[in-house]
Amino acid sequence: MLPSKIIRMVVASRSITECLKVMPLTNRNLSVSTVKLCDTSEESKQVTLYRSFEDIKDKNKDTYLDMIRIFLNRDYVYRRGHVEFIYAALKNMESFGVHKDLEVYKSLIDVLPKGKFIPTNMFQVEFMHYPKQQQCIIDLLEQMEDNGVMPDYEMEDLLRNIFGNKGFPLRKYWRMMYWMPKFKNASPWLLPNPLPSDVLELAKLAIHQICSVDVQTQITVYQSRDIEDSIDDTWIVSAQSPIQRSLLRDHDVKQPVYVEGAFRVWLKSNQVNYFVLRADPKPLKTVQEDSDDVSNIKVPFMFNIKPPIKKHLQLSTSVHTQEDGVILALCATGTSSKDSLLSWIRHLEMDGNPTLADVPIVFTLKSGVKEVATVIDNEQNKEVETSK
Amino acid sequence: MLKIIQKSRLSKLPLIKFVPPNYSTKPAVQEKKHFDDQIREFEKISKISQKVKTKKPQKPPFVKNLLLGIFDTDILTYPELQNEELKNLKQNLEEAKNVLEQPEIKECNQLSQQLKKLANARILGLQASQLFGGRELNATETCRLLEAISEISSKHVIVNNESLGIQTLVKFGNDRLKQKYLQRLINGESLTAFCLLEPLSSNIDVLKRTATLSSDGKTWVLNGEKRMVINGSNADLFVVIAHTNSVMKDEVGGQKFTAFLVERDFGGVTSTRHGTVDPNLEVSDIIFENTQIPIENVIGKEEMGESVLSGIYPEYRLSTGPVCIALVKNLINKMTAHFIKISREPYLLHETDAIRSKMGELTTSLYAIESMVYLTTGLLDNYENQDCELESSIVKIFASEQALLSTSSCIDLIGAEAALENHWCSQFHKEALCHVAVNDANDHLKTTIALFGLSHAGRKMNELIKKLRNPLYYGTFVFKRMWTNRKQADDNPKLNLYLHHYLHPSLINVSQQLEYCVLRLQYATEIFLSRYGQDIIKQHMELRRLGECLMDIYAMTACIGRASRAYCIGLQHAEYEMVLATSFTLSAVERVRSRLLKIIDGPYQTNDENYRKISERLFRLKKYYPVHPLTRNF
Amino acid sequence: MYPLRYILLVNRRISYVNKNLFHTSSVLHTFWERDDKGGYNTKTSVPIKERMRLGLQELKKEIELWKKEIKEDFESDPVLAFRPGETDIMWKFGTEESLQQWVVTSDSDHNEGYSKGSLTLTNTGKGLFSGELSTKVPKDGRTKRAGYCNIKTLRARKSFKRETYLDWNNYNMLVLKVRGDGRSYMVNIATRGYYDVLWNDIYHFVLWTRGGPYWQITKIPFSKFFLSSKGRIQDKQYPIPLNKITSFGISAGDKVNGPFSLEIDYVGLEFDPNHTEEFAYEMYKAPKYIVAV
Repeated sequence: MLPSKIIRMVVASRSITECLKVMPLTNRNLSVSTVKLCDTSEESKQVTLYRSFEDIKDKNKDTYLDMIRIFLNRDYVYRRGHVEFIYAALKNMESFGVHKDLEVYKSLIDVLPKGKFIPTNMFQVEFMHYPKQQQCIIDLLEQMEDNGVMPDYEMEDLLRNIFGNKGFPLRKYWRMMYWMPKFKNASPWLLPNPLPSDVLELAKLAIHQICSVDVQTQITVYQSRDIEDSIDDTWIVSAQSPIQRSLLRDHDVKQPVYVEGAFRVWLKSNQVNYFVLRADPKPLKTVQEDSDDVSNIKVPFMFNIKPPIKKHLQLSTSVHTQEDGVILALCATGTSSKDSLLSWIRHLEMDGNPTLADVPIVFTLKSGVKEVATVIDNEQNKEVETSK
Repeated sequence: MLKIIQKSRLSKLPLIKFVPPNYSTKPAVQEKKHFDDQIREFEKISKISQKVKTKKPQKPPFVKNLLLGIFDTDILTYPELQNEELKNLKQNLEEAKNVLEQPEIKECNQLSQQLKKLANARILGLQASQLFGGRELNATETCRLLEAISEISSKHVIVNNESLGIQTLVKFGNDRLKQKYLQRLINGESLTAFCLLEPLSSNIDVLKRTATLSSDGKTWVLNGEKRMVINGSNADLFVVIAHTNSVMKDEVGGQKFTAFLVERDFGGVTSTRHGTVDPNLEVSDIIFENTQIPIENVIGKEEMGESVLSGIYPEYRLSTGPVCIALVKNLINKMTAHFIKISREPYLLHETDAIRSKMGELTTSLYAIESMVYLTTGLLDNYENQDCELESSIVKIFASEQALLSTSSCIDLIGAEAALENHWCSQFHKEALCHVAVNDANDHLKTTIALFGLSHAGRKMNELIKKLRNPLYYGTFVFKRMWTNRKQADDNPKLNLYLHHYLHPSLINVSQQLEYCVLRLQYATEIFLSRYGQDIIKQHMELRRLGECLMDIYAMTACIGRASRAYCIGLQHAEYEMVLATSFTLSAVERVRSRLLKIIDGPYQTNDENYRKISERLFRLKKYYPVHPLTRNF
Repeated sequence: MYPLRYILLVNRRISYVNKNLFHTSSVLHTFWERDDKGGYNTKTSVPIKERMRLGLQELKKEIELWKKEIKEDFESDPVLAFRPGETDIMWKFGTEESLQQWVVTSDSDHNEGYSKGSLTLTNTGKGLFSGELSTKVPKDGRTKRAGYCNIKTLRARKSFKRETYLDWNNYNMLVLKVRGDGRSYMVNIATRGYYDVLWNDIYHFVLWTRGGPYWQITKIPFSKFFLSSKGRIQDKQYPIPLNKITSFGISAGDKVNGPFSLEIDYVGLEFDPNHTEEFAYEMYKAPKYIVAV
């Protein structure tokens, strides 16, 4: 929240009730933000609202909802300072971890009184009746949209009861309800919502997503301790398809294969590091054939046990042979260390790729990451000053 | 005197024509008793009649030329057997039927006994040389006899044995092999099985079964597994197609196969039996482990397995025809008897439309199958070396498909009873299932017949297609073509084949419909080839449509030809044959019209692209992916 | 993308009447756009003589271009048939020259954030749009959200720097061959209009990437693009006017802190006759004075 928005008036020695008597309620210019919380606070009477959320030690959904309840209970009828309260609450949602929780947003909207803000004539509608409140709720809805929380019909009822049918928050709600569902499931590689937080599951999802290119890919989870003299004890998620296996089988034993890594793939806001077993690119055999010539259509020999395919399709490349190399296998390990990669290679060798025993393997690890970096959220980076 | 000599069946005279009587007329050999076998042999030898068959010169392949719009009107004259031949055939048939109808053969479980009895009746080895005890029948007669054979329960065994095993030897075996094995087979002492299919592997190289030449070059060592082998567990002779490519990784050059004749006694042969849906049909998996095969047992030449297969398979496919004919005939007969029996006043079922329409359909399809089979055999018999691979494949698909459809519709008609396990209807249905599935998948076969036709058409149409595919280079040509094809583009081709000149005038409408189909087929082929060029081999959906059209057109030709002949020469029920031909043509024309229209209109008016998209996503997500209809998003 | 200013309403209009009051937020008073760069004008004033000299240098190039255009007008025939399955490549990365056609921007350019982005060539000859996004909001009282990087092609121009439109009427799909890192990017097609309200008309769609070492060819039909202005999705949606395209761009701004990388091979167009959809976003009948207000 913008600090300049909240102009504090520190009331030195007057009691709060006196203060409130003086200040008009709906004062758009100078906003009051001194509200004393519970009477039980021993500290100075001038407790300002926007600090109170941060002061709570145990931050979770229950305490958050408690804060809202306390606010409501203190002044049920007039609810002074509710706009500032809502802004402060919005600012602190992430630290409480409730920024993706629909119920919390609904209870925040619930703070506003029902019926009072509904315009009664045309002019009120036109001039955004109670603009500060409307703006506050619009900001709340925008924060919902940023966090990807889909509202529901209950929220529509709430907004209608508070601002009436012609209010701007309701319009924003309608826009959200039109656009958000359209894009919610639109990704061709849809990830489960919520994403699992377990690193192994994330790695499996990531490898599954990367290898969805080849339908026949088989994903196996190895344990590195199954190989003797392995230092690490970690899981290895490895993926290889039968086409890759046959490519590896046909690979010239004298040419080396490279283990490259650690590349990064993002799953919503989590990173997963993966490694690639790659060989040098094969020169493409361009078969020049005249597609206009129909005089020698070959009827496939095998008496129709399989449907016919074009002959030179067999020659052509699969999706694994690319311009920059032939991808032979993929993996993600718990500790992205060289040792775990060695265990991976040995596992692959045992599991149907005997050529790996003879082929020279070169490790070109681009970054020697010690642990899988799963940077989950932004908060840790906010404090750090990044240079431009 | 001649008569005396002929009557004495004990003459040991070899196969020579009887020369006018200058020789002694005394019987040369005394009568011998109690030697049934020898008697039989003598009978056999004396009965050897020289089968002189003059075949007319080879004609261009019929159905393949349909794609070019060339309709060979000779085909419309339905082939006939000569009087002599017909008489002989009838005689043979009588004898065979007598033998086959004996209950012990019909329902016999003891295969070896059955074989012996059949061998006695000279039912095995129909096309084999008479020296070995076969009958040297031609295709027509074989099919007729196969129809009769299909009445017995072990028909699959016999038919497969006959058309695959024995035929391979007859056609491709060299004299030594024939000498060694054929006699035994015809005597019913051993049984053959044909091993082709393998457990499905994910690679394109289907046959993993390898035979490698041993170091001394005198034996082949066979390793591998074959699946779905009919007669596998009972046979002691196997015709095995194995991969003998010396270069292992040569995917480009294609694969080389060789046909071997393997005896079970060679060792290393194990078979596991599987039952199929049809209780009469059993298949097995055969595993060969280091089986030694002497080099003489190679059928045909080494690495010429392809030619062996392409020689054998058409006739094998043709043999499905008679089997299905027998099946459907029995079905229809039983159905009519059933309905007559259960009809009670006032529910005379056999007079209701529901029953009548279905039974009419059944009869029409059987009529079509029959006509088609004997048209094809006529082609094979009357013309030298006629290329009938396409026609016989059509017979196979059509016959098995129609059999399956007929049995399914019968189950519909009969109702709940048909669901009982032992009901004759469900048994027919199971049998029909096996015909469709075992040994030749109908779906792929449809695309193959389209490709057979297209490769022939492509060769002839090459220049034309080149010009059509490059319209900017051959502008005037393209414009001229557009002018000549203007009527075709309107779905109203000028019927210039005048087929009705070769048929009875009452069939004029029907023949015009056939002409329409043929001309549209030609136009569609042109468009199809010019649209895709070499890529045509990948367009399976369109190929399938083309194959189905070819089937329908060939069936129509057969029906119409047969009906016209029947009407002209005044066979019994000839008017009904006309009605049958008309009804088949009517329903077939609809199908052909819509399919060809789809081919001509191209890939954007049909569901082709949609199916591709849907299936691509299906395979990518590996399961049925649309979310449940009750899902909510918010 | 455009600055994420504190706009009161979702659309261009505001209804704030008390202009003379002390506002606690930055507000837009009208929907009139003052200048075409939306306030981010970093034009440095160049003396007239310098400008003339630079202009004369350009003159030769422009005359060459003009001559070529005249020739093309006379010679070439319009392409009549677009074969399905053929992609016409508009922007291909491979040479240094191809990089000159693109402009890279990020929010740190005008001190509105801390993200960095760059467009380079990889050693295999593909373009690489990479950098690091940071959602840290700078404390300047105006910015509410931060974190974007953007590449955009230069405006289509004819000879003598005349602005023109790209005509994509004959296509119905946008084809991108990219190799992403699992993050989602936004594909923007700008159809900047003549009038100031239309200056910021951009059609967007999301480019989801698979990640991994495999290239992906994404085909986005034009019917899926939705209209927005200055980052706010408009209420009244129209299908993209394919004959009024001014530029094309890709943005990274998915609210996740961290490095991003997108390798691009080419951006092309295709006509797919099987795609018959005209516009993907259905319009509802709403009560009066609610929509686009």
